[in-house]
Amino acid sequence: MRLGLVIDLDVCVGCHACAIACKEWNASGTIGPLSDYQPYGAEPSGVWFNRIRHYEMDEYPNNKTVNFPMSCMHCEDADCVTVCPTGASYKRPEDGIVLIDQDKCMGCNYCSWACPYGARELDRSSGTMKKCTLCVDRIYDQDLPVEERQPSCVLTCPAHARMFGDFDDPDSAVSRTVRERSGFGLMPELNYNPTNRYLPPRSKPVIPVEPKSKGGLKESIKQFANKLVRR
Amino acid sequence: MNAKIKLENHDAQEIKYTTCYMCACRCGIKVTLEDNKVRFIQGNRNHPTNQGVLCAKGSAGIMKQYSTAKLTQPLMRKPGTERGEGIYEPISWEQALDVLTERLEEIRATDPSKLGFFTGRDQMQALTGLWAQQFGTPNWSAHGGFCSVNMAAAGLYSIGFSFWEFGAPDWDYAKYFLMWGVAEDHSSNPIKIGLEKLKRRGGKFVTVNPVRTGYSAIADEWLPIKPGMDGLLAMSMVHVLLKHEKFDYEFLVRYTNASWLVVQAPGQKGDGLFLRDENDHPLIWDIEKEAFRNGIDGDIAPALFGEYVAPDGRRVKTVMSMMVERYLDERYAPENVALECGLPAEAIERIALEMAHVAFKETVELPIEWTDVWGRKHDKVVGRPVAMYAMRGIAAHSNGFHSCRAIHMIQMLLGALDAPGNFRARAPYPKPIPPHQLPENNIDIINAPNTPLSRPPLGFPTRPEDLVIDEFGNPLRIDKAYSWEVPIASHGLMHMVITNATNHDPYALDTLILFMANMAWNSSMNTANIQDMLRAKDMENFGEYKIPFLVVIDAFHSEMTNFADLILPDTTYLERHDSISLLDRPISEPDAAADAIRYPLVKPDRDVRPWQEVMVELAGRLKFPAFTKPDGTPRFGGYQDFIVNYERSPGIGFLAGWRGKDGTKSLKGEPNPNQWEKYIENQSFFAHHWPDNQK
Ligand code: SF4
Ligand code: SF4
Ligand code: SF4
Ligand code: SF4
Repeated sequence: MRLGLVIDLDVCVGCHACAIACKEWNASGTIGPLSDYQPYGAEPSGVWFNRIRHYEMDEYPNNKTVNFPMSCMHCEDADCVTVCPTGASYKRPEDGIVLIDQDKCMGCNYCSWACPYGARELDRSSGTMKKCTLCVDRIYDQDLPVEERQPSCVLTCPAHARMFGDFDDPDSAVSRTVRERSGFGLMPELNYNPTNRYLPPRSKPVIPVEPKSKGGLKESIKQFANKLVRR
Repeated sequence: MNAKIKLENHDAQEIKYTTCYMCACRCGIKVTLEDNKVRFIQGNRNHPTNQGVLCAKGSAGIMKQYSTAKLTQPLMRKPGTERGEGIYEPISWEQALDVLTERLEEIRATDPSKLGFFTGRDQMQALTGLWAQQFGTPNWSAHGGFCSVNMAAAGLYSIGFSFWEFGAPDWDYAKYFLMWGVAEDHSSNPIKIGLEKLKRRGGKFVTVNPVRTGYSAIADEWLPIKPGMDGLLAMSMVHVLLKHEKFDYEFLVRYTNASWLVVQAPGQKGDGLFLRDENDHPLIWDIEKEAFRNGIDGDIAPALFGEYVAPDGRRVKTVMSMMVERYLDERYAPENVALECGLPAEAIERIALEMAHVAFKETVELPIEWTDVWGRKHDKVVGRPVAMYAMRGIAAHSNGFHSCRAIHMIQMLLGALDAPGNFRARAPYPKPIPPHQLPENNIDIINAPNTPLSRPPLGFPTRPEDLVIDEFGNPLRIDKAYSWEVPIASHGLMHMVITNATNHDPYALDTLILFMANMAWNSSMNTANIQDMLRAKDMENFGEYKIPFLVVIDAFHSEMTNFADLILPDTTYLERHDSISLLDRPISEPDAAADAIRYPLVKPDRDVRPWQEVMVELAGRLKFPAFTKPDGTPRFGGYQDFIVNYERSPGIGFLAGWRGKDGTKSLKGEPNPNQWEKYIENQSFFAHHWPDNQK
């Protein structure tokens, strides 16, 4: 299995619901719990597994704002794993999920420098590295209803811009969608071979118009004649 | 080596369903509890509003529950300290309620208008409004006055429903969606779900917004309007539709008053009013019968255009003719508004024509039999699939009322209203245009001691006689709603209350009760000046504060609580009973009438009480007729008892589900003592799905 996420840039409204749901699930979870610093203080901040970036492109009328959620890509060839001196950072052979063993991590930051996607954040309270777990504690939990054995961010996305599934299975919904919509991985030139895929914005619908009036407004007014329309 | 993955301890957990209150969308939530603590909040898949998803605020509810800003006990400003210093002494609930009861009894027995009761973005206006009406004060409203009122009034006076809660785009059939001035919060999850549906089906999404963030980011086309110019843009689109003769003649004849005749007698009485017969019916010119006829009737063939001479000799003209004259004027031509709107003229013209194309060339027809108001059967429903939605960018501008009316005018010209693919009403809307509810304006009733108002404090005036003014034309309400200054003030003007009460204009209040109404938001965001006003003292009145007694009810500490004389701490939305009622701000969808409840999922760890519980108690103590038995004892044992047993009219209560003694009736039926349990069993919401021919 090769598990990961598909994110649809055509419909992501940048609402941060996925980032907050991720926080909510993982802050009191057991796998790499993420910390808040002064959540009720003057300058709340903390660790995030998922951040939404916003980019503005081009000039009006061709401009576009792109909302770009980014979390760990669960790369096939992840240098974040190979550079880890303690072996805390590892990739699971059975499903491709990249995790950090919190008991082994010494917070040296090597992996975060090795990650080109900015997916890893050092937790200042625990002194260890944190990152997206693909909600491994949800997706295999047999006690959850089947339809809820999905990452928290996927379940919550109001625009249904997020999908989770197995990219090794050519018939899975994620594989099919990526084929149909020409999904792409980020920065392939770096050869990390990321698993997560992004769907590009769809092309704009073209709608024909049928102007009628050729003459001036006087002509327009003259055209208005009462028709016999019974109520 | 793999680390061991530890899963949740489900045995220690419990799942409960309730309703989110992190905004006014009121999505269904599924809450996982562990040790009387909230572990996780997620969307309820079965809920009509959010269908399983949850926005960022909804998930953040967990942080609100554990906020350190929660108030913990009733507080009284320490004698000798000044407002704003924030120095308080704890008092017991009993003491707090005694102080308040005594004060309110005195006001009610002397001059009930001296009480102002204003609430923030609450969701219990059916109860707070009833409470104010029973008290006998006209001085009540919620925060709508500076939020949605322009838009709500425009809608209710034009189409019988409005943007925001009273209608929704038909995401299943819309092919074109034009969104005006909507930020990400409105209407949060339903719009996000809908935009994805629309785009997946290949529909076009156009946004009118000065900034391109959030929803606008994914629009197919962005119209970067200059702030406040939306109305001009809409009027220019009307110009284009008229110029190219792109309007739905049948729709205008059948479902609008475009054919009604308007008196043209400049400078004389009656100018600009509809021509009416002796029975007050509006008249049209029937081109078949060649006669003036009742414009309400079904068997007419009205002239949509034209100028006529009424039987009494006055000149009259159809509404449509007047519209054509006004909007075909060059003033509204795209090239003449382009600069003011900050948009290319080409785009204005093209978008209007694209809408016309979709409305008239891509019409949706559903084989549904239905019966119209005149009792005639039809074998199909025709929908012009151009949907629109507008919110605060329109509503909160001073020109919002007319901007929104202009948007409704486009919808009417396209015939794109309340049908498949366009903007559809949500029960209990549509209502008569405007709704048949007038604000109390009988000065004798308003001034009568210990007497409820005969009508609600809010309503929809249509004539000068409906205004809430005295014989000299002075406002009778502290916010001056329904006076000559603001005649169509549907939701009241709570943002003016502190200012007017401080200036004693039109008069002074004795006590102001504010429920979850932080000044940073509800007083026109004018925090610094509002604080000065609340500190202002009246030297003619022994140096008393100009607003003598300020009661603040809130679950949280805020800019406002620091200025209160009495603070009553409320519960959070996860700690109390609530009813999200069809009598109030409903959560219905176009295809289903719906309401919902909340019930306590976690026990409060503080000495706090739900405000609705306190309101019912105060109503009993003050002996409001609707809350009191003939023997003078309180009629209701508390909020839950009130919700089950109060009937606005026989069979109609706050909650529409599981009515009737055995809980088998929907919408209408006798009170059911087990109603709360039924809601809880059914995930805290009720939905009545309309059959196709009633949609
Ligand atoms: S929840 Fe969905 S729409 Fe919102 S930011 Fe995340 S991916 Fe985008
Ligand atoms: S995205 Fe970064 S952290 Fe995640 S697997 Fe790839 S390199 Fe490692
Ligand atoms: S998969 Fe789970 S851990 Fe990863 S971003 Fe989504 S919610 Fe967070
Ligand atoms: S949109 Fe729904 S989930 Fe979000 S805050 Fe509002 S009610 Fe809650």
